[in-house]
Amino acid sequence: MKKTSQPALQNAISPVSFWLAGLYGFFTISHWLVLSADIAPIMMAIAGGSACFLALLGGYTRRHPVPLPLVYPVASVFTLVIGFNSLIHLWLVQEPYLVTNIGLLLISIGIFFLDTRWFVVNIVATHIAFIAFMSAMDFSNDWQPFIFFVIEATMVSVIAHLVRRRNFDHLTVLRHQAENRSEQTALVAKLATENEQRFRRLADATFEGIVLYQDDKIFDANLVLANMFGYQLHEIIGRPIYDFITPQLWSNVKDYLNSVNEGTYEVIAQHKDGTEFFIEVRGRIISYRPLVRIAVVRDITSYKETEQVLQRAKRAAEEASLAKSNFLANMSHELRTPLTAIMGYAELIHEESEDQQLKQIMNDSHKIIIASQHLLTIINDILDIAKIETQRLRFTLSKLHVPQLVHEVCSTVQPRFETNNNKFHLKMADDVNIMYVDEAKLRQMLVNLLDNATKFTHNGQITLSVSSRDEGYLFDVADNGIGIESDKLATLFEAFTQADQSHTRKYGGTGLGLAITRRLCDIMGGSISVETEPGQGSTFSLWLPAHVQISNDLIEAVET
Amino acid sequence: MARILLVEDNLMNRDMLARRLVRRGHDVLIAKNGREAIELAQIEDPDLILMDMSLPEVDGWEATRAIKESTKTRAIPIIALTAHALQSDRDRSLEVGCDDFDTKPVKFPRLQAKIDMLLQENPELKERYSS
Repeated sequence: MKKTSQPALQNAISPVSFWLAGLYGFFTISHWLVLSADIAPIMMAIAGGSACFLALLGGYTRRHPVPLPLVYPVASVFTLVIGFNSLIHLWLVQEPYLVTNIGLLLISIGIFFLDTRWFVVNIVATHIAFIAFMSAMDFSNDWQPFIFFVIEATMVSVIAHLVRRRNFDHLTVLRHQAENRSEQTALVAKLATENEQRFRRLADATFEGIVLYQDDKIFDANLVLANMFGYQLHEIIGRPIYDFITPQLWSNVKDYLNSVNEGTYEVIAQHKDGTEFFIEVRGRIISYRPLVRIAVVRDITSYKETEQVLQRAKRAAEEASLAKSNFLANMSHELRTPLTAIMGYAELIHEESEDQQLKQIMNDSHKIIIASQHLLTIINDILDIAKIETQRLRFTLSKLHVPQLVHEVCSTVQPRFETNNNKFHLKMADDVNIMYVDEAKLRQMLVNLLDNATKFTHNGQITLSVSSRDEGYLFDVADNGIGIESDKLATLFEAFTQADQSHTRKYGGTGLGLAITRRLCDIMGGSISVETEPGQGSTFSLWLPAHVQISNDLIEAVET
Repeated sequence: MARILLVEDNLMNRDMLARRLVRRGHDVLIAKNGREAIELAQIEDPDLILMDMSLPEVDGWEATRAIKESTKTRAIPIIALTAHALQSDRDRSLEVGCDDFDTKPVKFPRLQAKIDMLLQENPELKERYSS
């Protein structure tokens, strides 16, 4: 830190000049009154000249401040003027008491010059000038006290200078400290403003409204929030949050805020124009001030509307699906009544023609019976699917001996193997034993798989392998028939998708057998899969747990 | 063989079933609705009743309940016939007092087997058969 004293002196130049000018003006007059006639004109001229010079200097420096480097040289001019007046006066009067002027000059230098180098220069110059004048004059004992007086004045001047210098330095340090402090304060304030602006921009740049509130009153928010509700930001500051919520929900929100510190809730909000819309509020208490809550607010009106549309669509789809299933169930019933008559009469005709040995009518009526039976199978399958989909199919669980059931199924299906000239082979593992399952459903599934196998195989081999696997039983039905194309596999187990529509004509069936089997299997907690190679054959693998468990509302009865 | 009361409102089904039962040597009585069925059961005391469940006026469920409530007709076995293939229909018919249940379209050999079994179970009829 530079402890420069020029600025302190700079402002003093002009007033000191005027005061000295005034003083020398007064001396000009007092010289005329006091001094003898031979000296007076000279002293009046010097004092008057000094007064004029000082007045001009004061006037000039008042308008044009002395440049800082010239402050001490100009101040030294005062020493020069005062010293010159005092020494000339002393020289002309030759009285020792006038040495006091020199002493006063020396003390003034000590008070006035804060810069030590310029102080020394002025003191030394004054002493040299004084000694020079003294050496040109006669001394007597009367002078002795005044010589000591000059020495004392010099000492006083030095002390005055040191004391002032010390005070000045101290003040300078204090001033610098104060300046630094205010600079720092300004910097901190600037940074704080910048930070505030940055965070505000950040908060305004989000897509969600942000609000801070204390005791239910908003004390800050971002622009997004204000705009969401149709307000200017300043309009919402200080207002209670309940101004922005539909009045019906006030007590709910109040209860919620009283009981929950952090959470998400949905509420109906009130726009400035009075319209209502849905918002989602995620809020929590933050440790900013006591009990301040921050909340992030999102307008979820469009989301809500979409949700409602979707829910309506879902309900409509479910209703349509149920209606379809109900329709199928009713339809199958309506179809059964005329079919009963058709089959009954066909059988009657068949019986009567048999009695009368009418071969052609026997054959024809038999064809009607076969076709009717096929139609009945289709109706039964459709009804099964409808029952599964409307959850009206009920299960009866009981313990059964698996080998026995499998043998029964095989003997039921045996005639159908012969239709396509297929050989049947049964492989039963030794550890296959007891199962807890719906017997009729298991029978239906196995018949479906075996029927399917023989339907799509001619002059081939059908193998049913039963083994225990993973606390359940695995039923593999393998054939070497036409197999299934890979692009048909995806929809193989869906309803009404026989691999090829032409198959329906060629091979018969509804295409519902696998769909029913798969759904029954799902309900009973099992799994079904297929491995197939077009032209080589297929293997369907049905796995069911040894102890089937079904949700209670689907259970018809439990036999132990 | 036996006197069977056939309760059926549908003309064709009634005709067809009656003729097929007659072919197997049964005497067939006809009722076109539940009310007639209750009356004929009282008057004629058939050996067995084949009861269609969806009937006009008094339906099969009500007729069965009435027949089974009367001490005179209680012993007559009843086989319910319905086009409803749902398990709940089967339960409901057994609940109102039917002795057996079959679905339409009728598979005659199966129905015949059920008829035979019920007739054999009935000791009174057994006696009549044996004589």
